[in-house]
Amino acid sequence: MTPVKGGFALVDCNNFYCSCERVFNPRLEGRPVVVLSNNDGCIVARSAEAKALGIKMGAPFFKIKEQLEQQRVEVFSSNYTLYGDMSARVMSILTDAVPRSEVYSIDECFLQLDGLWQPNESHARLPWASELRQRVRQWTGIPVSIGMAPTKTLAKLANRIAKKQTSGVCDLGLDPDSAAVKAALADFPLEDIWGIGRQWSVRLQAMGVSSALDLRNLPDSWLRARMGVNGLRIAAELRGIRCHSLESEGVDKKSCVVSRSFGRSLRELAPIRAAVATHAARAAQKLRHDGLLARQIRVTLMTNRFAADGSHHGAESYESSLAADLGRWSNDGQIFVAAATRLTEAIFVSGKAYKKAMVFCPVLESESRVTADIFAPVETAQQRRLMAAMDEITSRYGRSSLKFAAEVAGGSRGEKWEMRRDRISPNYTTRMSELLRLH
Amino acid sequence: MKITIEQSVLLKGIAHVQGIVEVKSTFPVLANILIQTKGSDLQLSTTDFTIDAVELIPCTTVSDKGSLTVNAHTLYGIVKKLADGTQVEIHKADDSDLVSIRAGRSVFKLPTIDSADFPEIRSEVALPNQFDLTISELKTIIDHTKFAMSTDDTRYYLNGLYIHVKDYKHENPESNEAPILRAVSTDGHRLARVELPLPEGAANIHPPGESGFIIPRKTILELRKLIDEDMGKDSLPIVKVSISNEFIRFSYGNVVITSKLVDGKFPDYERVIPTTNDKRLEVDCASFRLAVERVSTLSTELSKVVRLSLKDRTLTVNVSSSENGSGLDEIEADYNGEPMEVGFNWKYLLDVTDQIQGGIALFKLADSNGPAVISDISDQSAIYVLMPMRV
Repeated sequence: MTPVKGGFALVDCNNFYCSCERVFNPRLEGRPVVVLSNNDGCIVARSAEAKALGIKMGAPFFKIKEQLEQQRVEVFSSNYTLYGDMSARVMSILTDAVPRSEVYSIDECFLQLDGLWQPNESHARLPWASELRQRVRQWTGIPVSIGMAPTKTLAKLANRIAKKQTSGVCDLGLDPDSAAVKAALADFPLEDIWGIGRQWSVRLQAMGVSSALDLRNLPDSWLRARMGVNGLRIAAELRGIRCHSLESEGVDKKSCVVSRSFGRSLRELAPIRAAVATHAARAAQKLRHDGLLARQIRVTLMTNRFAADGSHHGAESYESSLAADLGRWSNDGQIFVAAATRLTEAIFVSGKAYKKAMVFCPVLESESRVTADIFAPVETAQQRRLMAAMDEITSRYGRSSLKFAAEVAGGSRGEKWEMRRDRISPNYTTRMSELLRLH
Repeated sequence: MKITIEQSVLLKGIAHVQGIVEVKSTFPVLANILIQTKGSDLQLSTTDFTIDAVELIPCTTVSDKGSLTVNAHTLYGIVKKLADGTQVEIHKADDSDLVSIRAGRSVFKLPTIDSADFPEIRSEVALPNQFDLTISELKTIIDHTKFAMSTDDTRYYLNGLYIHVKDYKHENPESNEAPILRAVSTDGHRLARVELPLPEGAANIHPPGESGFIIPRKTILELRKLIDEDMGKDSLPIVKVSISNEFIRFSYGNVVITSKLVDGKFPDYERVIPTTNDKRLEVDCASFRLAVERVSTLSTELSKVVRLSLKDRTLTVNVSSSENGSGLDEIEADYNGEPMEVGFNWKYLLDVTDQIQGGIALFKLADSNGPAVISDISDQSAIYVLMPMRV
């Protein structure tokens, strides 16, 4: 028997990175908190209190450092180990709550609600969501908002509304033509609709379309002619017609980049080569995780584009880049590290003060789509098992527990390339030595 | 220039040579067909710089000799739509840039480009080595290999058909095997190799033990189209093949196709044909094809893999995708190895089994990572190597 349609819920963690920092540091509750990007570059997460102070998303840290100190804002380097682990805990609770779900990002998860309630039990939806929200908060310490609606696009919209409500939940019900849905759509800005970017929102406004309700009411022929089948799908989803199902397989990535700024400028080859080897090993590991393969690898080395005062170096900045064919479709770390090391040695210019290295795999293919190359060496089952064992060890004991030798070679002056993370919080959940102590 | 010619004769002639013409060419004159009077005949020529095609067709009348070039596809489109059996008049006055095509009450005036601007056609360049192939031999060579020719420009030396003489005696003086002509194609994922008894005159097309020739993909496909119209006729003309280190020429009836050879080195293909695969799977080819076709309905752009599970007398063919669900089909088979699973691109499996004319296909396998060798159990003159996919 077909289960009773229940639509979707989108569960979104509130100010996720800041919330993770607060879980183990309760004195941060009620205080403005921001998290910085890699290498303490710019603001990537703000608590509600920080937003209220007018701190902008993406603002360069060095420019507003004094302002943050004056406003007594708590500043953290990003601690992706902690955030990843906290995300896994939240997602585990959410995916256990329903038969079918889709982890959409580190802090968002769609839940399919079909079959959870009978048609006459719609009153049970909100209490269920409130209880789930409470459970996540109690078990992990992370506050979440839950939006429920007939389609994924409407659930995204409901979630935006939920974020503004003290209850943290919003149910638009299952009738897409209800007054509640129409009122929500009429009030909802175009650029916040899932699938409508800023450019489309500007173009639509120029055509006299100013809200989600306007967009939903446009004739299909208009939508198809101007926005193509994607526009038609967005409007249909806003009308309550389900066009997007849960994606059980991740959408294929088209390329893979691993890029980090060094903690300080480097002039010696050895630490740069070690950094690139680390990026290459990480790129291969990401591809293995996603079941993808690359055929080409590109290494780029860059000097600092900005002077200490933030001004652009212009012509003085230097960048060199080189790509190599791997000779086969691969996600084998050994092959990646060897190729990236050769490329680094080929493009390194002595005397330059390098600030950043990037490893880029421009074209990816799914493992299930690639036929092996007849002229390439056959990748043995042993090589695959070696990579699988490496992944198993690093996932259990941390990424630094097992490395390729090329990743750890240092320079004669002992130059280190690691990122600057002066304000990082402890790895409360993944490292025994950093467990929270109660005195 | 002024001539008349029967519509069906003209149409057939243009049809034979117009495939060479690129739809979008950098040089305008390459979009044109060169039309020249040769005594009481008309010579039609096209080129894309790599391949030249020339055909001589009889005119009804030649009132005024001359030559012109006109857009090949436009002319073909017009002549195709003229009534059967009508006489077509082609007339270009010396002081005009337009050619008029007149048939019955239809008149077309088309722009021309001076025939002096047309590149030189190499149909008469002498090529030192010659041998003959029957149409059925040429068809066998092309049909068994064309699907595996590469289209990847980064490995341009695979974009064609490699032919060479396999001289067993040169490799091993004690061998009693007669030399043969081999044609090989590969796109890096599959390889097709077909053998023919060495035609008379072909023994010296290249020095023993040295590399053979790579004939461009387009030349092979045009040639196949050309011979197709005569297949099934009682008496089939012979195709005369002439070859040098730079060019190959196929002369067939009134058509001459001269093609540059690919300037590259074909990889050592013999190295990648496994000789020690000890697991043998024998399966009824028609049943296997049907099973693969059935389950491949569920394959998607994201996953083209068909999983073959081998166990004793059963072959299970299985496709599964999160989007479309899963499907499996079981067929009887004869298999002598340990139970194993191996995945192949379903399209490649069909391409190969399409070529197997006999009843039983033989798969020789090593393991799920290594290449498989596939052939008709009763005819080893053509073999196919197929690389697996991860399962």
